Amino acid sequence: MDGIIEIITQFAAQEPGIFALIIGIIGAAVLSAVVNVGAMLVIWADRKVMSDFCNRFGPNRVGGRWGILQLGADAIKLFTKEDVIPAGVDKGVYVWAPIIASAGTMLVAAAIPFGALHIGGKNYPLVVANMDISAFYVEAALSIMSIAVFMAGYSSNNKYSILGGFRGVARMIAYEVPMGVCVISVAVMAHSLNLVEIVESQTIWYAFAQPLGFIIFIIALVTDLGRVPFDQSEAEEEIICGYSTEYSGIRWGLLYFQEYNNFLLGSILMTLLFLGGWHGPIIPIPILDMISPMIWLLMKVIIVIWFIILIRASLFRLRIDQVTDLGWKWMLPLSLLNLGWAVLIGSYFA
Amino acid sequence: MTTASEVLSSIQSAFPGAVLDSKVESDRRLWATIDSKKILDVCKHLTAKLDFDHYSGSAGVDWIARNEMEVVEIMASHGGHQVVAMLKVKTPRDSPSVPSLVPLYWNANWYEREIWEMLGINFEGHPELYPLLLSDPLVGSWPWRKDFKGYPDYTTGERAVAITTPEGYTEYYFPPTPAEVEAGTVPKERPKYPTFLEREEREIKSDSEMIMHLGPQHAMVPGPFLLDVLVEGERVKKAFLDIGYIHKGIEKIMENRSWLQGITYTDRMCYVASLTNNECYCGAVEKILGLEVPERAQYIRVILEELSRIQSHLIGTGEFLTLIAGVGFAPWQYMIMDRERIISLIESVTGARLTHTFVRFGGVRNDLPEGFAEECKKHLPYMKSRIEEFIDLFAQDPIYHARMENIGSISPETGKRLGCSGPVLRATGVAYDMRKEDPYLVYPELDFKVVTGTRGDSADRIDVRLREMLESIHIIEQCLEKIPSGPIKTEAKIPKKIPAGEAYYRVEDPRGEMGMYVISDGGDKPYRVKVRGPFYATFQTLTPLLEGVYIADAVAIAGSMDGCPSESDR
Amino acid sequence: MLKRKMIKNFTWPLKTATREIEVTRLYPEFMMELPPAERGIHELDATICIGCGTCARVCPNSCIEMVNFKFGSPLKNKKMQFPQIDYGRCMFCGLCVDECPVECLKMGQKVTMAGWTREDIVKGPDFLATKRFSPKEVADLEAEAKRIAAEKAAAKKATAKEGAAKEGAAKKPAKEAAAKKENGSEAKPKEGGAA
Repeated sequence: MDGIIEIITQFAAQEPGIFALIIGIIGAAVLSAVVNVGAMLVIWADRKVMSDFCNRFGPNRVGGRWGILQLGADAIKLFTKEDVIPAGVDKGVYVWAPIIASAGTMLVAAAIPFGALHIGGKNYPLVVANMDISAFYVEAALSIMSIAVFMAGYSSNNKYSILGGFRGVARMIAYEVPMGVCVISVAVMAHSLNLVEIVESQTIWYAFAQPLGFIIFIIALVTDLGRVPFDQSEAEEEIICGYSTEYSGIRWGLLYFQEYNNFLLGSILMTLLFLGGWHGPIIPIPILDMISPMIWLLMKVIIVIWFIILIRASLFRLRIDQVTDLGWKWMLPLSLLNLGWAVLIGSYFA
Repeated sequence: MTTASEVLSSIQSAFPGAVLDSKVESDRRLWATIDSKKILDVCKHLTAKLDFDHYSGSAGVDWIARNEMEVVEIMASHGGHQVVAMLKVKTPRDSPSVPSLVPLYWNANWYEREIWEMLGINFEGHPELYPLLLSDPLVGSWPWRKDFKGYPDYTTGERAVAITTPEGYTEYYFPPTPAEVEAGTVPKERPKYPTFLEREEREIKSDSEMIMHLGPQHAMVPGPFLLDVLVEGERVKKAFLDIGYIHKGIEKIMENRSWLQGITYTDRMCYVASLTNNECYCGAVEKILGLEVPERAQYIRVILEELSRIQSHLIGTGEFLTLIAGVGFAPWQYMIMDRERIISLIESVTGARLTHTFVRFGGVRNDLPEGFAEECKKHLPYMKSRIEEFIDLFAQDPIYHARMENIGSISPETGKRLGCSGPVLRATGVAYDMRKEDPYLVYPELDFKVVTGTRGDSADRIDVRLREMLESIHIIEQCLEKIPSGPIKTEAKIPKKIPAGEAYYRVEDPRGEMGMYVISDGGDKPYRVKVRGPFYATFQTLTPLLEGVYIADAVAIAGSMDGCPSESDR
Repeated sequence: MLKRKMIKNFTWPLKTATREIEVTRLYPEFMMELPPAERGIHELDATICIGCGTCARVCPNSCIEMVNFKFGSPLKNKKMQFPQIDYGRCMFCGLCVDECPVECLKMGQKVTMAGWTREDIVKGPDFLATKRFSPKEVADLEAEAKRIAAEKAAAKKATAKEGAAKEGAAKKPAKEAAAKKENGSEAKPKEGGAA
């Protein structure tokens, strides 16, 4: 064991560049594995929780009574399907759209802290890139999905797709602004744009410190994720499948998967910004005390995800003009009001 | 109250010599043969003076033995009186042509197009005599004529021209014979329904417009029908509707099946309303036979038809919820769950879940099983509470109101003019219900209200359906109390050959006024069955409503009609 | 916009989530309970079927075909035919059951009938018959038939001897009944056919 560590340290000393590259690749692999497995669980949870609300069983065959392996079976099916690129599509853009969507989520994942290790009375955050403006960066990178949506809609040479693409962009523009303002309000209170510092500074959860901002953020987040009541870009009863109408097989699978990746990452962001992140009483049991911040974060994220699924089961879809109306006429002024409130409170507490 | 004989005498005095033949069947049915030159004037007179503001449809009949064709115009009133006037217009079979009623009644359009394409009766003055249900090449073979030999017509093989399309398919078409062109049955330049490309070329004016399909294959449609919308951005500028994708020719099939076998075909016109369809057909045949249905059988029919109305409204409303909320919307599934209970109730009597084939001439197939009343008493109060919950849910939901209120509004006058019926018309405030207008079975003895709305928009249509379900539950509860014991089938023997005669029988389908016009020539098969479906009439009103709304609203409007293309195409 | 509350939208799904699953079933493990009136796969009582073919004639889809099959009462016609039903075409309307003159055809509560080929769902009388004669009964009936035939022959001889005396057709209950039924079953198809 010591020998291996010695070899590694020697190698690191001799070739620092290559060593950093190798570490980066390993980190990226671990990160994408964690995020993707997480997203698969979210898809499973979406189906299962939805089935609860609808008094159904949901997936119940593959992987036992709870259908936990259903997603694996679906993924295998998607991978083995014929790869169809329809005639008349803008091939380059069409092929790149799912890839950009995945790249976007990975960019988000890089800057999001997935929790912290509690060692020796101190929290060590688990984050790949701990940058100073990570809150803003994550919020911006989440909307790369919208670009992918527009690319997919534009390139598909399909009337439904182009409408879906337009709707996606219109929605994104209308809601990105209030969402950004909400992030700024949080940053004003925390005196930092770093997600780790925002979490550490939450002595009271910001959901209580600025409830208006919390509500606006959750609405904007649901919009960003493109879920009911804001799923106009793929409203199947109006425009079939929206931007992904022409996609099939693994390309469609990637687009679909990224939505759930974003769902997971967006829920984590929400928890970090407003729900105190990994704050919570430390469990006084050895080993468990080390990961107890992660347990708290996980529990909060699960509640957020569950709530967003509940929204899907209970609300009607808005019309696209009503969505943009709501965004520009209500969300933006209210988020600015919230910013003023945050400045007041923030300066008072400071 | 106006009666049929009064109407007849009024026509006779206003237009001496116009009525060639007449029969007053009862106070509510008038059969009259009108001179084809005077039919327009007579209709004008009926509408203006006698309150016949409801053009209910028309039927074409081919009397091959008499060498003439007949168009039967069915006229009724929206609550003014209860008379249904069946005005026959005769025309020679060699060159059939009658005046079109489209200038008088907007909704005559489809009925006349259908008669034209099926029987080859030309309608003078019809604005767009395009094929409606048939495909273009079939026009000219006149499939509903009694001497139709099938398609392609191998008996006149030299007429069928086979064309191989560039894709490698073989298609046939029939050029009109010179004799036909001479006789004028076939317009020399046969109007063709425009293809998609032609329509794009004709309608698209600027770069920002496009024509989008909302059918025949779309998540919105309850069955295949073509709905093309010309959109500019999100705004629908114009809508084009075409039906006939699942034209099954049920009316023609029924002419080739025995009277009894016909019942099974009425099931399949609209499978969520099969009991009312059964009732309509059997009622018409019973009218020809002059049969009295035993009282118990009548009550059983009413109970089942009201149960069937509840399940139809539940699935109609539920499917509609998915259109404006997405399939994940949980209350949709609650409606389906509740519908399951109703279906099980119906199944316990009829033995089938959707296609019941339950009503028989002069009775019903099965008696109510043991403990049916107890089951009903268990489920109906539950249903009541659930429906009240649905009403509550919609009343307090702001998004629902933002999406539905004042979307696709119809005023009462427009509703009457467009000829729609059922919940669509009642939502506008016109209390027009066959159970009151043209009472059948034991409905006159039962106490129920006709539910009406006020605004006539999509939200009102849903509201009317929900409250109608409560009325239906009320009716069933009364029936369970009043139902007498006794036979469930008439004692009289039903002959295999029904005596010659004709009858028009109307029932209140879940979707509106359902009428069947049945003619018997004394054979073992119907001579002609004309189905006047409720959704056929409502369907026509869709295009004017869709102009100027958003795409999402187009879906909300089309969905709130509770469509059933299977029934409109037949 | 926010005048009305949206509480019910959220509480109803939550309330439902706590309830037992009522309507949905895990299908192959749990079949739904079918009422006695259910119109499922036909059940043929081969002991009373007279092979008249009314069911085949009334069927709107002509999915019933009368085929020769060897069970059935040897008292009657030995080449008697029984219904064979093509379930690929059957729409379970129940007209055949209603029109059956001896009520030998019923529809049961069995509804599953999947097969690998189209021929698999063409069910012959062997499959449909839920009630048939046991071998012993068949033997008994055959003996009876022989006895009747012998009596018949004897009677014929007697009548031939006695000339055209009408009293010769003496009333033998068993024979009479059988003959009557046979006549009836033969007469009916003709009528129907003409109609």
